[in-house]
Amino acid sequence: MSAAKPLHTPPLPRALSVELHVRQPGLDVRAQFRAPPGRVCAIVGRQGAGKSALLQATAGLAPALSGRVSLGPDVLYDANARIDQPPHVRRLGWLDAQAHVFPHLSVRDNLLYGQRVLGRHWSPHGGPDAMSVARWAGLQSLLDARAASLGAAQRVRVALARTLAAQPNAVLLDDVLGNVPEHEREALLELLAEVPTRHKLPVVMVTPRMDEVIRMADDVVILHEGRMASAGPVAQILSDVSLSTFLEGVHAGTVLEGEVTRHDIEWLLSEVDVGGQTVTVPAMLHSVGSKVRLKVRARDISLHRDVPADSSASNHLRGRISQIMLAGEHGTYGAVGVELARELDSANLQLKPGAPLWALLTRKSIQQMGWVPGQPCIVGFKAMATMVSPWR
Amino acid sequence: MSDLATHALWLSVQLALLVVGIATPLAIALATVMARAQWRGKLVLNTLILLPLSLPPVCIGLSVWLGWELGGAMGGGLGDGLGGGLGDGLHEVLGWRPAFVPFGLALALLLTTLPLMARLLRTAFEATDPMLLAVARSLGASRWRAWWTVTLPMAAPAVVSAVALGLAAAWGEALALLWVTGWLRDPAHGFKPLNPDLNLGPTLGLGGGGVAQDLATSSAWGLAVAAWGVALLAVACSELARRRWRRMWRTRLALGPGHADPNLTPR
Repeated sequence: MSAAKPLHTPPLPRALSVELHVRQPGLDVRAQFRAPPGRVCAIVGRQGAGKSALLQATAGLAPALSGRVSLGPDVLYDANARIDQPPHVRRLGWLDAQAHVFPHLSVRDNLLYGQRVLGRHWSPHGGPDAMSVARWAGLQSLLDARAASLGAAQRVRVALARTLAAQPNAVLLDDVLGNVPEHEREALLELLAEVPTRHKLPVVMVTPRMDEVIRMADDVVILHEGRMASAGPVAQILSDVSLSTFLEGVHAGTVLEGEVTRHDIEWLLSEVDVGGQTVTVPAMLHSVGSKVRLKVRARDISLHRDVPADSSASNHLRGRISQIMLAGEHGTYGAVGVELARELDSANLQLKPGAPLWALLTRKSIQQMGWVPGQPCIVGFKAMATMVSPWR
Repeated sequence: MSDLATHALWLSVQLALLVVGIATPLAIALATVMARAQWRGKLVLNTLILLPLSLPPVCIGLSVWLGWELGGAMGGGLGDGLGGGLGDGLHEVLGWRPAFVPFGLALALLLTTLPLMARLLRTAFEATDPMLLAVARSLGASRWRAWWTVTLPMAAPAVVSAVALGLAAAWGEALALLWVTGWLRDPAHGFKPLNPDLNLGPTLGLGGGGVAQDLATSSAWGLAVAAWGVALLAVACSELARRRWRRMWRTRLALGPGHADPNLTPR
């Protein structure tokens, strides 16, 4: 327990590295991921893939079989070195769909709980104080309310503020918006998306909803039956056409990252710069210069040899066929991988790799067009087929 | 009321307060241990703790007394029988057998009150959502602090309920034990004639009957009315506290742990 002391000093931003082997009834979960301060790592997968078990073992709330959990240089768990810090020393703030607002305390006392239990370990400069967090989360008018009188969204707000006011070393979100009604999600998502940058904390999130991943995450880990099926940056992983094998209710598609460049007020359209090419999307409220993620379903994408003269699709991006494979249950159709045209970076020195993109075509049309890897092509899709999500 | 009745009342109230004072922290500790997840020997502990609940109090009183007495007679022959050894030791040092002086009575009362209170508290401690504690831990609370700041405050109304009921039960049983053992009649010498070799029935009848005659008529009625009053008050207090506890955490109790939809909770 000698290592317990340094963990209580003001939390400097430290990256959370996790490599764990967890056993659940009927399932062995092995995974590793890393969340640097200010970045979000999302763990996605079907129900029962072992996502929550992994997160609980990270927080020290459930036992792990082996592995290692560390915060920067500080080891929280190491099976080989027989280090297993208890959850209150790890202080990885836990948030889930039930929110678990303490029912015997007022909202104010809930927010002050961390300060109260940390006692002499509480450092006044270690993080935001409870009241400023309450202001940020919009809880000033609820400070004297009891948990029983709060709605689902308000509970999540209280739980989030309580976690941040407790000076956590990282924040673990286990499907936080699971109980929040649809119409209240957007405001909460906005709040959640501010957490990593505002508090310079590593954030690990588990969620079944891909829109939350696209909205918040930097990196994704896909868990499938306890194993890591895929891991990497969001735009790369979520553009993988084989993703729908591992996720439920996810349409194969592409996530493109870009920056808003212009709003067309006359036609109510917006333009987004994606790797040097312009994508037109329905008008949105995000200001010029803000970063957005675009999602296009693979089945909505058409491929052309040249920019078609008459087409209702307003987006035509240059690219090159990278691979062609059969997809669908019995190879009923083909998935064509396209790499968008590369662009020079801001210093005009290096080529950035082009964003990957997938188009689902029938085998017949692949055959007729005679697509082969290496050919240049034009990727077409309608503005209306694009889903825009703010990104941070 | 006669002097004897007042004396009996006062003594039994003192005894009940003392016993509940000792039993409360013990019952809270036991309830916490019993409410914890499965562990080896939980069933044995549960049975041992709840056993006295199903025995008549007088039987426990006698068992305690027999324990002391036998232990003394056999010279610690019972070996690990703590009561025997202790009784014997006390007898040798003080020349005093503690069976039916208030100390022995208190022990017998404790054995009947403790399981009752532990039983009442166990449900309250079991009802605490383990994830609530997990969240408290992740916020920086040690196991002990989480218990102290979450489990105990949430079970507080149930503790009040258990204390009220425990007081009533301990008081009633104290009165009954004082009566049956005849300690009231001859407090200076305790209850002499009882001996394991003798037939207990008539002896007990003698002891009780003696006091009963003393308490006959008006003073007995006075005592009875007082007993009714106290019992009513205690049970009412207990039920009120219990209702408050239920109302406070209705969310969880109504919908069960796990994936309760907070939208469904009655406001």
